[in-house]
Amino acid sequence: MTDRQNTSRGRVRVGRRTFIGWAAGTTAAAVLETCSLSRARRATAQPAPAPRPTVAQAGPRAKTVVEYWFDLSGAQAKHVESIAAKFTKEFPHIEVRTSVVPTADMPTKLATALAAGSPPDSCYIGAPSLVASLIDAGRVEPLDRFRPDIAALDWVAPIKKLLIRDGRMYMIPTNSGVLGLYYNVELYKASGLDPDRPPTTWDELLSNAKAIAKPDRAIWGHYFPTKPVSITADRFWTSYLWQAGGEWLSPDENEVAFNSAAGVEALQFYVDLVHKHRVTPMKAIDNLSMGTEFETGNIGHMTLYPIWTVRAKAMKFPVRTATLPRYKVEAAGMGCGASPIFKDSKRKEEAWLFLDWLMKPANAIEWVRGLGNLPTRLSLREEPAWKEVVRENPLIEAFLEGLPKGKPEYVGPGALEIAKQVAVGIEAAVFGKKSAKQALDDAAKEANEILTRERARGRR
Amino acid sequence: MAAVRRLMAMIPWARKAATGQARGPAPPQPARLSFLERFYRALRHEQARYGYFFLLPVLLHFAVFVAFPVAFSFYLSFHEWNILSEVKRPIGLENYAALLRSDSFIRSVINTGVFTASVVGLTLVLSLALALALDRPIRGVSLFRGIFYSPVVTSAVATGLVWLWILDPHFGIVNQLLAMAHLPQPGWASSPEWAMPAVVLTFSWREVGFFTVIYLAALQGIPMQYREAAQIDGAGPWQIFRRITLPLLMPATLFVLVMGTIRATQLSFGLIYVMTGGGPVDATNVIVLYLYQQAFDFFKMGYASAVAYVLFAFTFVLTLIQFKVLGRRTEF
Amino acid sequence: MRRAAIYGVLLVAAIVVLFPYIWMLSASLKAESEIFTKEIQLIPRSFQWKNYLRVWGDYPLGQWLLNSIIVASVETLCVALTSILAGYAFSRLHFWGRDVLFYIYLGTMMIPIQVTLIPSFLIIKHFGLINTYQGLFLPHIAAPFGVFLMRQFFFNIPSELEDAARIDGCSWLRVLVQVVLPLTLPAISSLAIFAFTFSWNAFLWPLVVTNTKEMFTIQIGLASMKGEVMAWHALMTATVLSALPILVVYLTFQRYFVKGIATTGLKG
Repeated sequence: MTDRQNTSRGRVRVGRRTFIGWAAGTTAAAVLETCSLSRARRATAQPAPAPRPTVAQAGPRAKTVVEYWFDLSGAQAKHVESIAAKFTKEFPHIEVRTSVVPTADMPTKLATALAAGSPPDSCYIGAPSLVASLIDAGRVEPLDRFRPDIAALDWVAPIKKLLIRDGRMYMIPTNSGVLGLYYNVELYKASGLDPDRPPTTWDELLSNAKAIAKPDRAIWGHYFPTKPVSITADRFWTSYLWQAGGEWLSPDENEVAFNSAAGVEALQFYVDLVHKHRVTPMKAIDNLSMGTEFETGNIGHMTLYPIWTVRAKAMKFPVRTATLPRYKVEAAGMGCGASPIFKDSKRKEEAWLFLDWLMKPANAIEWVRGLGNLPTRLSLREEPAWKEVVRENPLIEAFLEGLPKGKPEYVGPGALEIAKQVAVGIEAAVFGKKSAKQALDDAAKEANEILTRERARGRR
Repeated sequence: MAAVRRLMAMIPWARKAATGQARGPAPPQPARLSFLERFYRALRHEQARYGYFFLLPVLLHFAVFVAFPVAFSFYLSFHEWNILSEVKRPIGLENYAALLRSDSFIRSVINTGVFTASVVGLTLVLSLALALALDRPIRGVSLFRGIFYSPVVTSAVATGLVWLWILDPHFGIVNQLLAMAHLPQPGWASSPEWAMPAVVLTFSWREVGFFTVIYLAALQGIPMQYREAAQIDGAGPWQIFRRITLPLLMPATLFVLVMGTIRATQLSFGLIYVMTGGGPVDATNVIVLYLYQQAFDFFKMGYASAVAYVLFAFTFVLTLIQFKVLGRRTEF
Repeated sequence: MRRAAIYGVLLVAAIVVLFPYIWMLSASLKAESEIFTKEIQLIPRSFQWKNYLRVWGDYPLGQWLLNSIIVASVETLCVALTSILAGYAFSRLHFWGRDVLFYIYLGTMMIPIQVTLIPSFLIIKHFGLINTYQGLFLPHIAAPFGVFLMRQFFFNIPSELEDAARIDGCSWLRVLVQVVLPLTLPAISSLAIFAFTFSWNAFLWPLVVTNTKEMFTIQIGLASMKGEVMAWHALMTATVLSALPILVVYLTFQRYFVKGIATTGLKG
């Protein structure tokens, strides 16, 4: 027995020692290699920042890197990268290093970086609520320091409200968009409707949707988001709320007003579309995947923003757009994308050079052309380059027409949480768990609590 | 049965059951010595020296990368902190009080309980069955093992999306099969009643491979002699399973239960986020999802930290219970 | 007869498990317009193999995969080493504070990463390791689950062997390395597989630590391909590609689930 144990141990001894030696060696080698690999990578990717070169001092070696984060993907991402490359060609001593952030993860990444005091120099922010939160938290630099008259430029009015506080502008808006109606021409023809006559009122929308909808074959008449996330309520549903004559907040802004009779009417419209007329399925429709579902060709209309016009050409069926149907009032939810300069940035001057360059008409139009939304300055509409864009992409006309009726969502204290409460109520009503009035009243109760609580915390 | 008893006597924790004797006397415990004195005494004991030495890498890593984050987040749970701003305001137990008042949170606790119990129960049984089936020299066993493990390595995003298609109420293959069999077709992820089963199903699909690997490894550690001896003694397969295999698998089962609980409470985040986002109507809102929303949608890090510690307490208590019930059978 | 029944069960289970993959594979080979059709079409109408080439050219998949492989390999090696040592200490060695330490360590596994994310980020930033490999793997070179796993498996080793070795005069290190380790090869293999998998699937930490496309791990890379207006077949293709390395790792390690080694020490 001892012999056998000794032999087996003997055999094993060599094996184990070599294994450990090998393991230790490999780990050491791997660690060393990664050290040098990442050092090399860091060296090429981010040289030590030279001491604040100005445009005049542009030496060939002194290259500053401006970090710009954005959360777009696919063709849009490539578009942003090409614009950054164009800038670097004109300003060789500044490299705008664009970093893709996965969509929907921008808040996480940005917040973490901010909490550690190391945000990028600038970034693209597509959500008005995040824009407002950043400005309120005092993390972005007021831009009148670089250009005193910036707030007075001809920005589209609702954008001004979002980005200007006390006469100071805090971010450069790069693109804007308003909600509009997309409709499937093939389904229109198949249901005997005239594609040249899109619906202009709620009633017309309803009757067109009813003509198209065939629930048994999973063909639906109208799609709008019902997933309980903030944007469902404060951008999409508010369009209907406003059109019914309602408002998000009371005139004195001390309490919410979305549960007024107008609000109930707007929510009831949703509920009826699902239950009474059966033109919309009873499910939590997501604004992000709505476009993808529309592409399957089973949906008659959908409410969405302009960026899907660039996909329209790839769709298998002809698509047209129209302004949102109106009811008592004409209104549509608005969004905009903006870029700030963070206070913690160490390269504010260079970042400003980039943003300033971006504001030039040719560049600004190039930006929106690739992204598929609308320019943010009124004068840009007159530019021949913009007219060319419209000629290339006629679907965007409808959104342009709708822009004057655009209204921005509420972005004050507690905005996101309140919007989420309303969205939760919308979902509950759509699923038949609560009546429209009950859902809105419950949301209003929560919202008022949130409002008082956030106001008491001394935010604006 | 005498042979079985002799075999059981070889297994440390089963020894007491077999022979009625515990292992030798415990080492003498020094009494009424100060903390440091006890520590130095312990160090002189060779086992202690080696014990601390073996623990050194883990302890170092803990000190640098684990202790601070854990302590800091506990500290944060007593503050109010919007992560976009630099102000952290101490508010005592206010966060915890708000938690107890929040309907959403209470709902998420219930959902977490249901989800965890279903997933852990399902995966435990399925993985054990699969491991038993795979623990034999049939042809292609490596291939099968690879197949069953592969869901574990797919990204949560891809898994969630693909299963959403599979479970689509109209076009999904599951409902199409059900329709062919004239059975009712549930709304799966779109319906408040069936959303929870949908995520339980998908998550279990992903997790079974993980625990099958554990059980397989554990089964490999059971020497053939035990089973052969029992067979010679005349024990049937079920008896062998109950008296030999299952008890020997207790350490592994404890691991599966504890890890299964932790994974179900925390790792489910990615999948549920993609599949249902917590809905519809809060049907699949679990604590970890609620936490993420509070932390990174609303930026309320202090409140989220409080939620994290409630989740921690929840998991810790569950784990303690599991250790108490099974732990005695795994240590000596 | 029994064998046939087992085969049957395994086959059905395998189909259930594999089906989503086949779906993904088929979606990755379809032309873009085919993906969203009304009917289920498992076999693509036209096999678009060039999808794979195009995805490889459009995105730095190779770089992403390499980053993931490097980080996962280093983490796996370190976790294996630290877990074996600590797991043995917690299971076999008696020392003051052993159990309390173990429960505390285990407890830290129960704190969700979302709240430890920012403090960990602060630490890594303090060391200047943002957007580096070290920043990616250092916080994970030891893992409670690994320690827990090894501890449980070490309990299953009959202590007679170790006692014999100790009587022969081996130090605890030699006992661990030469006596116990060979018997727990299946456990170590599982540990390696799991550590690699955890590292491969990690999302939140690589998200906040990496800033440039060149440093993305495969998960972040895949997520960056997802968006509102995106190419679905590209995502499916990339997903299929990203599952391959880890399957290779798995198949390599599962070879060690061999019964023979486990019984060597008990004969005689």
